[in-house]
Amino acid sequence: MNDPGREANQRELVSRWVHDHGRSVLGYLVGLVRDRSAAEDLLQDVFCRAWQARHRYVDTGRERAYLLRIADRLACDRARRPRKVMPASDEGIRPLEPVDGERSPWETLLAEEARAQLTSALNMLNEPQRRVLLLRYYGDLGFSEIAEILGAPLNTVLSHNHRALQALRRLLVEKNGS
Amino acid sequence: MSDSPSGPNDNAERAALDEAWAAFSHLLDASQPDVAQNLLVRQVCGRLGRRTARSRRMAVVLALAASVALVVGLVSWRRVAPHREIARAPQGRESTAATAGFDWDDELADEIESAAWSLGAVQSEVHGRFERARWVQEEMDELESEIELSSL
Repeated sequence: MNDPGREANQRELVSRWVHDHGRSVLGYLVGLVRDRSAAEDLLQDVFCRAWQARHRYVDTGRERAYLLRIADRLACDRARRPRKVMPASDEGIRPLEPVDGERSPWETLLAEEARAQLTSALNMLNEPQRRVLLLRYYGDLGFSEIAEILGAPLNTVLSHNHRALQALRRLLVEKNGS
Repeated sequence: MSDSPSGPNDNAERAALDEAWAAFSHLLDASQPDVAQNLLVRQVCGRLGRRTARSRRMAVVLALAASVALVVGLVSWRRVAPHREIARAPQGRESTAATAGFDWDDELADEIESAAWSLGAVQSEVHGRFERARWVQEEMDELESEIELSSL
């Protein structure tokens, strides 16, 4: 009893969302849960939830913020559920590499190093700090919007951002500088 | 990015934080995930379809359960209702019989009534005899006390 028109409409909308925001939402989820397969599973959930709740979404041109908010909720729910603790490893980040066919050994080496650095960077941050930085990067959001998504006061978000960047500065800038 | 990180007021600190942000962004740029969009669209649509079907099935099951509960409730009510009507009915024997759904038998009722009258008569007779025996006992007690007094 599926309505073909409705199904086509659904498919079109989902396609547009995936095309416009899939990569960013997936990046956010991978950065947060650091497990590619779990992130992909969550990504499907994000689009399903978004489509099911599409009537509640007020179109303000901030679809990505809307999707990232759902992604954040789902990732937090997943984190609350009891599960096997998995320390961050290169395996979680490895698939983040762009798949660009053949690479030279030098490029592969650079990518390996970048991946290791990203893993180290994410490991240095606590969860709220990771959420703030990843939302800022993938959502291109202002701090007030991030505060709204996280349900935290603006000053708390600014503080997380500041502390996270200080930690990253020690790791990424000073280390590279030396 | 329209907002800038707050906190440090000195420019050197801000520049250092901006540099850290740029380095982190660069790492994330280099690690942008590759999304197989067609596959993802198929997966999302498939999951949506399954969820829709599941919720539709759940709605059907709930509707069926509600219907069954309604029917059971209705049948139970219809079974209980006549007895409640009897309990509430006026005390006339004809109306009681009519409510209970059987015909009133006049002869049987007369027999029951006459038996009740007979029982009442027997009861009053026994009661009268008992009263007379008690009166005789009292009289004898009085005579006895008079005899005792006269002998003194």
